[in-house]
Amino acid sequence: MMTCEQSRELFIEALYDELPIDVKREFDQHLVSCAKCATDFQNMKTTLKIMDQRSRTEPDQAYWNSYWDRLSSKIAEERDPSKKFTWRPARLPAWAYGIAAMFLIAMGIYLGRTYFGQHELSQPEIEHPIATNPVPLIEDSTTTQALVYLERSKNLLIGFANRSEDESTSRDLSHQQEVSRRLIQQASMLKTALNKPDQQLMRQLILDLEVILLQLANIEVKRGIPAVELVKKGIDQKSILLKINLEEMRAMARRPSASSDKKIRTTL
Amino acid sequence: MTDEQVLITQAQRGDPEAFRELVERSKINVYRLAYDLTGNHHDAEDLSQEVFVKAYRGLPNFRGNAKWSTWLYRITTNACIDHRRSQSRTTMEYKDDLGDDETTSEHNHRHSVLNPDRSVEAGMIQENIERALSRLAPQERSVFVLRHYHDLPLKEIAETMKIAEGTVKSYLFRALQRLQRELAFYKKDLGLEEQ
Ligand SMILES: [Zn+2]
Repeated sequence: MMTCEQSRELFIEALYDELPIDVKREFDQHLVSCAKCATDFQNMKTTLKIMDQRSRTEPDQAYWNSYWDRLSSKIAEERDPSKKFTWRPARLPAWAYGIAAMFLIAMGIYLGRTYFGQHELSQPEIEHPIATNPVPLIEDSTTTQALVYLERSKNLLIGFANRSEDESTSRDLSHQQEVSRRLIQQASMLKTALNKPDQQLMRQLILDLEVILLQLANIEVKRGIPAVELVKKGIDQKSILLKINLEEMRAMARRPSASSDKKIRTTL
Repeated sequence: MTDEQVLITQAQRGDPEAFRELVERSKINVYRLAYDLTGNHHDAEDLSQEVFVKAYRGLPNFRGNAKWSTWLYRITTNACIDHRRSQSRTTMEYKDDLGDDETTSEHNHRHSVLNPDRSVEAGMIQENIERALSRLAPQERSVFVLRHYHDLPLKEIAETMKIAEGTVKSYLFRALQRLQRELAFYKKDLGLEEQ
């Protein structure tokens, strides 16, 4: 025979139908024979019925459509250079930084594979300068040009960062330096054109990129590998590839057709 | 490997589209849970976004055998409890004791009696239910909301909140006792109890 105390311990499971059948039978028998428990149980049931009448005020579709846009901006903000040394809790153990570094590297490798397959950085960069490249208009031609610029810079940096020592001939490097110089020229125009408040993250990113591109353009071939490695390290430390990617996601999320056409492609 | 596990692995490898897909799939549930735990849109928006930023940061540490929704619910619950604690330091919304709360019930009752119109009355019910929820301690509210509005079995709530199942039951019991006191006057109004 179940005691009152035992029956009370089963109230919650009984209310939410989580009692095994045989226990439930015993519980029900107790309620039949004990008015006090039966009343208390009924009162709780009634309270739940009242709580069932609660309704949520749900946001509209426009809210959900722009949800990712707002989120990706927040993630990008965390990577903003002015905050980059503060966003991670300072008390993280050393191994956590290792994992974070691996994640960034994995992201870079993934971008390299996804966006550019196995192909090496090659002629199209020079043969199709940005200014003469026909680009489909998104919602703002400056933003579009900036996105194309970011894509080309990413292409260049991935090609550069993935150089193996075997292939680091001076010819390859001088080609990459040539591309770098062209991009730097484009940057000065974009920096002026990106003047709207919502373009400031992108402008900052282009400023960051410029530092790396200048370093790359100015590597002296005869100084060889150490100088190359130094620039590569700069790319990693600034998480520049990840930032480009986040900025692209942010811009894509703002596009009306974001769901059907998520990735931007240059006309390479 | 489930579709979800594939997406998680891809996101962990740095695929932003995979992470986006995971967000798209879970944003409504995370938002609703945050709303149920805070009671207002503004906090639900802020906290749900904070949850996904935390999930993004925590992705490399996410174990493949864990359940994505459980993990997100845990982040959400913790974020809301922290938020609530920081708020209650200044406003003291809820009382930790289970003592005499007659004054609030009387106040609520007076509110509803003063508005005989049905639609106003319906609005009052919503208001009073939200108020009753806000009287719960953060853990009590979390277990109640997860069980009652998100249909999580007790065992899953225990996993989500990293507490023992017995503790879940006792929080839930206390939550129900408190809600019952807060809403006692409604039983008669709604014809749910014979006089
Ligand atoms: Zn009894």
